[in-house]
Amino acid sequence: MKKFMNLFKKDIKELVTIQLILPLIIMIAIYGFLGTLVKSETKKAMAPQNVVIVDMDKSAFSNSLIETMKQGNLIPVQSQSDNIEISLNVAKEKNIKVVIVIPDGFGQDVLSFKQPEIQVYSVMNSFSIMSMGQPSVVKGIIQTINDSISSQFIGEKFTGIPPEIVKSPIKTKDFVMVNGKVAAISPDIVSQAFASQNLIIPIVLAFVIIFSAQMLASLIALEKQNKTLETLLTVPIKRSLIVFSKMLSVGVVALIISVVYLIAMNSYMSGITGGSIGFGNNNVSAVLKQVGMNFTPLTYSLLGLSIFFAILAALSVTTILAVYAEDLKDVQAMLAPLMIFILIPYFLTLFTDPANLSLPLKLILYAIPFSHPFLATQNLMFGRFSPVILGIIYQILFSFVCIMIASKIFSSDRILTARVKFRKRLLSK
Amino acid sequence: MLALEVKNLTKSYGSLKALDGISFEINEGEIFGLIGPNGAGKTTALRIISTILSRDGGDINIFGMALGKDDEKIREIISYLPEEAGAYKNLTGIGYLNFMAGFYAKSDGVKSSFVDTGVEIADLGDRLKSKVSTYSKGMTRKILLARSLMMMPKLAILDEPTSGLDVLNSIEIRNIIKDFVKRGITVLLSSHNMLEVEFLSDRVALIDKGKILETGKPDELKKKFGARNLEEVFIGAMR
Ligand SMILES: Nc1ncnc2c1ncn2[C@@H]1O[C@H](COP(=O)(O)OP(=O)(O)OP(=O)(O)O)[C@@H](O)[C@H]1O
Ligand SMILES: [Mg+2]
Repeated sequence: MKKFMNLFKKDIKELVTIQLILPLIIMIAIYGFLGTLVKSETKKAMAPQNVVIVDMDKSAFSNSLIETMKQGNLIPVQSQSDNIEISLNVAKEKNIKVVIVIPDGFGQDVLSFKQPEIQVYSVMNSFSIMSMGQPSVVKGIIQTINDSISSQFIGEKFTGIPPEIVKSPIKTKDFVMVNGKVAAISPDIVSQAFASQNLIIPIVLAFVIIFSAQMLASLIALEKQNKTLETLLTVPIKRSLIVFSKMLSVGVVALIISVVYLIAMNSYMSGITGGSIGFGNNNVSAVLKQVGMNFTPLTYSLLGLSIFFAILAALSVTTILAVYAEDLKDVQAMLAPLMIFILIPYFLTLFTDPANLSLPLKLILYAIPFSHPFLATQNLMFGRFSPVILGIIYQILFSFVCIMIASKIFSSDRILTARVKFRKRLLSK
Repeated sequence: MLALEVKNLTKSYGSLKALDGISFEINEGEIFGLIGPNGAGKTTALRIISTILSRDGGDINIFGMALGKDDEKIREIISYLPEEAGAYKNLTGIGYLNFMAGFYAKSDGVKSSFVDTGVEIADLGDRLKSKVSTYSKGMTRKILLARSLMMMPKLAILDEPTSGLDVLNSIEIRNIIKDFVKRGITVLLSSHNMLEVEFLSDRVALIDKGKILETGKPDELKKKFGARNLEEVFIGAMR
């Protein structure tokens, strides 16, 4: 045990280097920065917007229209000129993005049901997600105006009946049934809440698996590159403990990093979506709880196990692959096939419904031990426990076999001679 | 007691016969030198004896323990200095000695006495506190040699202990090895520097193309071949 701790401490020390920490800090800083940036942009978009108004009508009706805009979070700036071109230039100068033109005789035309036009000019000088929202803000206001005018008309004709009822005589109420449980809630809200939970887990998961595989391969390759492996193999410590120490140290570091990454990613996501998406978000969990799709201690532990064994499976495969890497440069090439097998389930679960895949694709998906945690969230939330448990059993078997092979390799001399063979194979090509 | 007994050791890499049935014995307290040209099979033999390479055939006993059966126990009493070795780049010299001592010492007291011995052998002064990555080739070799001798292994297996060292450092290292043998360890070393081996070894084996040509005390061999030094002995034995 003492010997193991000795080795374990050294492995951790070797992992936690500037090369590891620096990119991580940079990445977290970038996500944090993007998150706050997006948040402030969102706030800006939510803040009252200036609009230039060219009022050619100047009637009581157009005045009340402008009043309505003020209530709808717009700051109307009356144009001094009735000329549209001049007004557009004014908007450009003042960096105002929308110009609204109310035509002459507007109020009159409305009252005589001539359906007059309000012209909306959007000044485009950039394509950011947030600036796209501006015309729709204006459209929303016009919609509100339309609504209130038509309500006014209806109120005049159908006295005593609320205009809303005349406009939509039928009402709908949404119910959702999940896991045999019915809740009065709209399916949009549920699927959005579900997606918000499901968005972050796969990203973090794919990152953690790839990252830990890379760390482990580097750790083993470093022993070769620094020419310390030969000595280490003559030291009185079980070969399996050498392998285990490397896996465990990577596991511990990966765990810490993934928690940090999760937090950074979460703040970024909630920044983008104005707080509506995020892991552990209160609104989201309340919605999911209503339909019984929330995480319970049981589902959490099953998901945790599935993730744990996916990482273990990745690490054990990496150990075998890393034997054939001679130095750090080889590591990337060695891990390329592993990456593909991690990205396959990542994209398949992200962009398709695994249940609808063709049989061969499905088989491939299930045969990859890293797929299972990607599939698990969905299965667990819909109360399908057996595929998750079977997946975990498969992952355990897979890892066990790989670890046995890895230990065998470390006990044999392949770890010392493999690289020569690999070189020869490359040369003979 | 025999420190090492090698009987009919064979090893092939694919179709290449690196060791073709070599046998030799080392008595406790001896320095035994394995000499031969490049590619003779020295490193292969030392790696097999150090438990890190498998063999195709033959028997090896180290202080009465059979290789292949008692490897765990054998590793506790041997130390191996590879021909091309390095230390962990992000550790300091002293950190490296501490780390390696941790595998052999049963208690903290013993560990610090190991490290003290290592510091003495390495003789690097303040540089022990700097990272190994900043060491020159010779400094690295010295810290590695210090590592392989500090815990008083019963059998030290040194593959070209002075490779990469200048004349003065080589002489110093040779004296350290001799001194440690006086303190009770047994040494198996390899070299293609015949003069060095002649100076150091109690007995030598001449190896070429995986076969042992001659074994004996340097003086006896010189007499047998009527040679002035081992180089001439080797040339004689090759014929
Ligand atoms: N991993 C390996 N794979 C294939 N052949 C090998 C391997 N290691 C050594 N050999 C071959 O085995 C033979 C003996 O090599 P070895 O390294 O034991 O020689 P050596 O006596 O130590 O030589 P040197 O003095 O150059 O260190 C050489 O022909 C070498 O090419
Ligand atoms: Mg050699």
